[in-house]
Amino acid sequence: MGDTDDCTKAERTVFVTVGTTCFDALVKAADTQEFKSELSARGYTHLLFQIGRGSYIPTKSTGEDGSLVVDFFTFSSSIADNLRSASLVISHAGSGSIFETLRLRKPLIVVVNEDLMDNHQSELAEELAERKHLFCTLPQTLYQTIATMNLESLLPYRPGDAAPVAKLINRFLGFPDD
Amino acid sequence: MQIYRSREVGQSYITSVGTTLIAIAHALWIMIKIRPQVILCNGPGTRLPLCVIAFLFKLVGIRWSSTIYVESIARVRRLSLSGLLLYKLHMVDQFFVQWPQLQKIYPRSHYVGCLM
Repeated sequence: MGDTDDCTKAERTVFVTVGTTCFDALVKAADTQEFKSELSARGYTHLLFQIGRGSYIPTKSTGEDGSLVVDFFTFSSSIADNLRSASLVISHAGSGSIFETLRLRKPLIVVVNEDLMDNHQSELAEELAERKHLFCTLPQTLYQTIATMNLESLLPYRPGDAAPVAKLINRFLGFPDD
Repeated sequence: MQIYRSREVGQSYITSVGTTLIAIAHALWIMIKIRPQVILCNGPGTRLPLCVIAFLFKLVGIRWSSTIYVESIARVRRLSLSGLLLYKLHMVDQFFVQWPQLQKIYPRSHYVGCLM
């Protein structure tokens, strides 16, 4: 029967996170039928939203009709586990979320919130996108990004090493090199 | 030990003057109580008062602390407001940036690479 196929289908979760911010535009953009169909077409099975201080509530779904399983929560003490079990992360442009995701070597789409005043955080997302470590987009172009993205084109991010800086500081303070 | 922020995210610049003064007074108290030999800072809103106090102490001849300022990794093309102030006024001993673009614009800074 066809049921056994559904049971053995591997879980592939898309995790959308807005951190401690309110970013309704992103949650809304990812909660459309069009977007969810595209995710299903690409083999994703679950869509999990972390909506932070947002006021827009996404529509939950159990996925019984073969569609995407959709769920959400507002905050958790650590999203590390959610990041770890995700197959794709869609995040606001917070540097914490970005680097936590990159260090876990997860494919990442960063969505910039243009409503933020003095949006310097987009600088980081744009620079890392230029270096091909992630995709950078806006809520209104999120669908196009998902539809056209090639995850193979992303380059892994090598985490920074603070040891040379520590050495530099030690030398400046007059400590002998070990 | 907690340190007061001079300005919260989104706080109006006008009220920030008041909170910055409070933070500077608190930083003064910390300096006198701890007498740090090294001040290493990164962190929006919290670094300016301490660096200002350490600089003022230096001006009057009290050289207790070396100050090392690390600009945020989120600053790629422009410095933060506190970073700009500390750089332009030569208020810290070492100014570290995490992206090469900033080092080119601010030649007295040290490019130390991404620290995350």
